[in-house]
Amino acid sequence: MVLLVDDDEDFRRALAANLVDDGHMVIDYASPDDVPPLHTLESLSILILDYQMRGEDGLSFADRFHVFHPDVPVVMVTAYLSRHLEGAAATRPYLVLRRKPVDYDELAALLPVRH
Amino acid sequence: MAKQRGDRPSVETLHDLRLADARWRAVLSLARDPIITIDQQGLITLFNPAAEYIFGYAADEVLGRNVSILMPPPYRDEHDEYMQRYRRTGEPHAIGRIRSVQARRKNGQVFPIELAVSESQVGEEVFYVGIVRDVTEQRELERAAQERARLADIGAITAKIVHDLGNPLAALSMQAQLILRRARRGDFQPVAPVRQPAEQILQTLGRLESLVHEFTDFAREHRLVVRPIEVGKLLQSCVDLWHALAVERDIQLSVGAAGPLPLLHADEVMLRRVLDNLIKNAIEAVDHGPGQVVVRAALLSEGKLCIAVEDSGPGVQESVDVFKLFETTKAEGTGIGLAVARQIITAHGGVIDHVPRLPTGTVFRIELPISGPASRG
Repeated sequence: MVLLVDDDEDFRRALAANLVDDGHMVIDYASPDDVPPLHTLESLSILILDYQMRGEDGLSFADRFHVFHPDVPVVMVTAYLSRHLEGAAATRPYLVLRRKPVDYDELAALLPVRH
Repeated sequence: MAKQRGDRPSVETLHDLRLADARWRAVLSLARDPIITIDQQGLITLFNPAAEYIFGYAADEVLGRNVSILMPPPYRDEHDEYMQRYRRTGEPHAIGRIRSVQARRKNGQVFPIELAVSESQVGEEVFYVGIVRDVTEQRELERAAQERARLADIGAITAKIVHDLGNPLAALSMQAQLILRRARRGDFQPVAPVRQPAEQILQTLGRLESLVHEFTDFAREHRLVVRPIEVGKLLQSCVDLWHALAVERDIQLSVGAAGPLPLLHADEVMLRRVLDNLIKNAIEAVDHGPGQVVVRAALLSEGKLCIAVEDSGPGVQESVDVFKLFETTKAEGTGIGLAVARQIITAHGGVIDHVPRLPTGTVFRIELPISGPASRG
């Protein structure tokens, strides 16, 4: 299952549509604040999220997520790729950073094989 | 203290006068601001050490001369007039206020000052005191602060624009990709009516995407990662990228160096971006051959390296400032590339400009200090 967190509704909907079309199960939220307690989430194959969001920012959430799900890869997609973010991503081996717009196929390659 | 009547001052009065004089001399010597006194004719009667330092004149060079020599035009010519008018009308102009004006040093340099003037009288003798504050440094700090604030604003605005544009673009791109994938999969029959528009949408989105990326580049702070670079290798590898396209367009693309080149201390990634941009522009200028694009490097005498990208295209119009943001001569140009190039070169402590090439074309020249950008304290 793909966990998708992005406050841009259009993008979230479009990406979810691609994922579903591609055979993946998706659960999506607009903000990290809406995500259920991390320890209750199961069978996650990947976390895809934005950086700038309403509520907690993507980096902070990703760090907390990683504590509970250390083996689940994280892809951060963001429109504005600042040096700050690049630096932060460089020190987080579990995090892959991509600038929006993203190529779906490239994203799909990071996903484990679908069921 | 008993005051003595008679013509000659008493010993005590003389002592008091000498003490007062010594006090004032000490103050004048120590004062960091220029203190100047003039008589009713405007002639300088006192010029303290700070004045000597700030204006660059020794006191005996200026004593007895008109104070207007310390002023640039138009103040210079107006000063006598002001003094006469004041004597006639008694209406002060400079007296009793601090004014921001300009002054002139011995070497001709005009600089900003704040000036306070007062009037004093002893018996029949009237004199004026002027205290000057050299605010050159202050104005420069203010200007630099304003510039930083302006850049910070640009940065914040860009982040907002990029975010607000980038997200809808990403959503559009995703939807278009979905349509295309379904079309290719055969979900629509026939496929062409759907596939073509979907591909066009993605192509246009690609252009918008480039625009947003370029604009982000412009607003980003260019913090450089400076390393020693082998210039010859760098130029060759930049040129190699465009070789195939040049051959296709019948353009002779060559690279060379006028003599041995030293190691250049610069940010290789940034420099590649600049060179890539210049070579791309050069090829686009020629468009289709026969034509030439030449990339050359040479060591200049003053520890500077010159890299030139020359094309045999139609040349750039005089009136166009190609480095200005959003200035472009190309139908599909963004007008951002060269503005970014100039930012990068400036950050290296270098300069970039262009000159016409004979018989036709343009030469874009970059000059960079070999030792790298000067470190900022």
